[in-house]
Amino acid sequence: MIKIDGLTKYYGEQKAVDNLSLSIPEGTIFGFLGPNGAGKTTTIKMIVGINTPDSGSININGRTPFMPSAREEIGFMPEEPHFYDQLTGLEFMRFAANLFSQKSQAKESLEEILKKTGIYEARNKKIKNYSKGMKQRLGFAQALVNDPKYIFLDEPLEGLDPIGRRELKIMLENIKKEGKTIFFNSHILSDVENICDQIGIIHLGKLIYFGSVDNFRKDKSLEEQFVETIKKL
Amino acid sequence: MNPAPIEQKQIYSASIRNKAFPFLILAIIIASQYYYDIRRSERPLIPPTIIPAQILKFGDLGLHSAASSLMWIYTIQQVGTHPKKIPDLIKVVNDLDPKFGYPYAFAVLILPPLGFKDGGVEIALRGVREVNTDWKIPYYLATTYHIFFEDRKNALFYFDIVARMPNSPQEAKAVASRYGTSKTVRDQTKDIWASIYETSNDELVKERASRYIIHIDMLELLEKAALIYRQKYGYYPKKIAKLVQPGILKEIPLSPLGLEFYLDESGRALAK
Amino acid sequence: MRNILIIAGNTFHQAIRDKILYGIIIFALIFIGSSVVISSLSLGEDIFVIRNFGLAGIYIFGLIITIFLGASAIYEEVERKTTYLLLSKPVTRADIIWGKFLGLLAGIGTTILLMAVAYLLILLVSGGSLDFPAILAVMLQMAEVALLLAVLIMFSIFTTPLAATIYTILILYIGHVLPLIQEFAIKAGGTTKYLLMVAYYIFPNLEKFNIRNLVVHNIPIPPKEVLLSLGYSAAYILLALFIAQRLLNRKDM
Repeated sequence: MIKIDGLTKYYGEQKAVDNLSLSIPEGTIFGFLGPNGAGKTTTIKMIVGINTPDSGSININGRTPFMPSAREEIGFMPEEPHFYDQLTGLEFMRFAANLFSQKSQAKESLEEILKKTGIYEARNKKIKNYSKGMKQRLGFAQALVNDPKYIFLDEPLEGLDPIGRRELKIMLENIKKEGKTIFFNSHILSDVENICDQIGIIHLGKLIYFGSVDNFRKDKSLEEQFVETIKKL
Repeated sequence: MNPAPIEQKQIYSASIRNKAFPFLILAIIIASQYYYDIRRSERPLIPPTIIPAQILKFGDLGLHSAASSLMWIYTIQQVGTHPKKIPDLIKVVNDLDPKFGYPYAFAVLILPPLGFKDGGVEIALRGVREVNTDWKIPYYLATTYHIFFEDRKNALFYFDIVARMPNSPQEAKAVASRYGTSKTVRDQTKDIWASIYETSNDELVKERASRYIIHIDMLELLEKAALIYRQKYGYYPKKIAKLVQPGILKEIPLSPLGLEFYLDESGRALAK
Repeated sequence: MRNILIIAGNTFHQAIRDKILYGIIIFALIFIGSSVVISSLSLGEDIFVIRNFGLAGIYIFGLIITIFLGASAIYEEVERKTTYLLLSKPVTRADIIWGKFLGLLAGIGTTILLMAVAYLLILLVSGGSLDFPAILAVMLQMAEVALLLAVLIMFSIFTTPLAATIYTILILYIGHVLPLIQEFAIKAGGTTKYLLMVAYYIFPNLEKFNIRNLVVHNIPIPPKEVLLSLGYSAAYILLALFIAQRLLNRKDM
């Protein structure tokens, strides 16, 4: 389980994340939603151990992500991922996989992961020749190299065409069936309506809703309810 | 819909203009450079800038010896065009790398004929102090004392140093150790220049040496001719031109040193 | 430790495939080759001039490559945020600093080795002998280059890549005029002397790694001094990268 308690982060005088608390059960898909600049990326970067919070705690399966060993179980896909563009897709995957200890390596081969994410054909091309959509797919693929129990994705649907978005959503559901926990950021609300078990909505650093999609939107569409809620604040 | 024939022709010629334009500009650029080069020979040459070694050392990232080599090559280029600047340029070469031996030797041989007798000697004396393993410096210094100062004492002193140096070549050791003994001054001078010619890789120095040797050969030739004249007429000619006659000389040779030959009363050939 | 080597290997591959690097290397080889032509103007001092220009070329182009590779690698990490992919894995910030340093050093070392081999061949072909002292000079150059690379990495943690490059170039210049500064300080006296001497001891003295002027005159170099210089370089590298690590730990990515 992922447990976040009283997470706070300042950027200068500004509170980017304000006393955030969340609890995400195992084997569920959690959607972290909010407008741009709400604090979603700041939060996810702290959860995967890239930055440290000014106060509060994060607990993933009982361990803090600030210990490198805890990150053996985590996969992270950043927003608009950038790679070492002189490498090929496969070389990058190998590099990423090698950073984990032996026991964390995925059972399926790197080629299979690339096939699942739809960039197998381009595996021997240099990343500098990848389109934006291909880079998104590679970003997702490298998050899976260690067969992680917890997968964190920052705007995973960005830059994908409608077919790509559908494929990714199907992959997320398959991964969930394998018992993994998924946490992802998005500001494209219409896409996330159907796949999230629970959502959290963040606005100006504060959590303004946590629970199921249906409870939030009631009889409106997610997007309509969201816009109305934000306007009221 | 295709454009009408007249419009087609206009489009066609417009695209030819577009294609020809860059070539036209290129032609103008080349022509202007060519014109500039032709005019260059009419413009006065810019004298070399002498930047003191201390300042160069600030910018050369510690590559003092390489900077000295570069300065040396630059200096050589100026020998033909700005000979008066050579002493200052060589000083920069020496200051940048005091252990670079050859410029000291070169200076003491080349500067005296350009009018810098003392300057040349001063440079060589520094060289003898800084680089005690380069035989050419004391050797050329001794040569200059012998020829330009007619100072046999100093010449002997420095030839002595060369004779005792372990790494000086055979030709130099031979001449140096024989200096001051039996031979005439002229013969000694010729031997010195011959040894310099044989041991040098420097085209300028070799050329200088061969000129001196040829000059001395001409003096010997003239004296032989004067003897023949005396045998014929019983006295030495007053004017050297008198030697040009069948059986003696075809013509009075021209000294490669640019000096004029004449004979004295005892039949010795001299030059001025 | 293992991750440092993996990152180093990756950095090396990334650096070595940069096309601009090949351009610089070709220029370097042309420069070293042209020393043969230029030396023919030296009135008989050919070998001396080839050695001087050859070693100078290896040095200057080695510096250019160091600054180029160092600055672009750091830019890549910092501006384009490839570090997110690393830090979310079992990789520490220290791993990244040391891994990048070793990988870049390997890349730079490879190019310097290439230039050195070209130089030795050119010297042999021009009638010189196998220049062993020059190999020592290049080894010390590697120590200097490693020091500058560590300094460059340290600067790029807290400033832009361009500023870091400029600061490193300033350190390069100051490092080579420190002996002149010391001379000046002794002559000046008073507070100027103390200020300058402080600067003299704090800034890295890069002349320690410069034995070229001795090598071209075949003056022997005492082995103790060489070891001292290598130790000096190692100490400075540790200092610079330690500072870099501390700064990076406190920085939000």
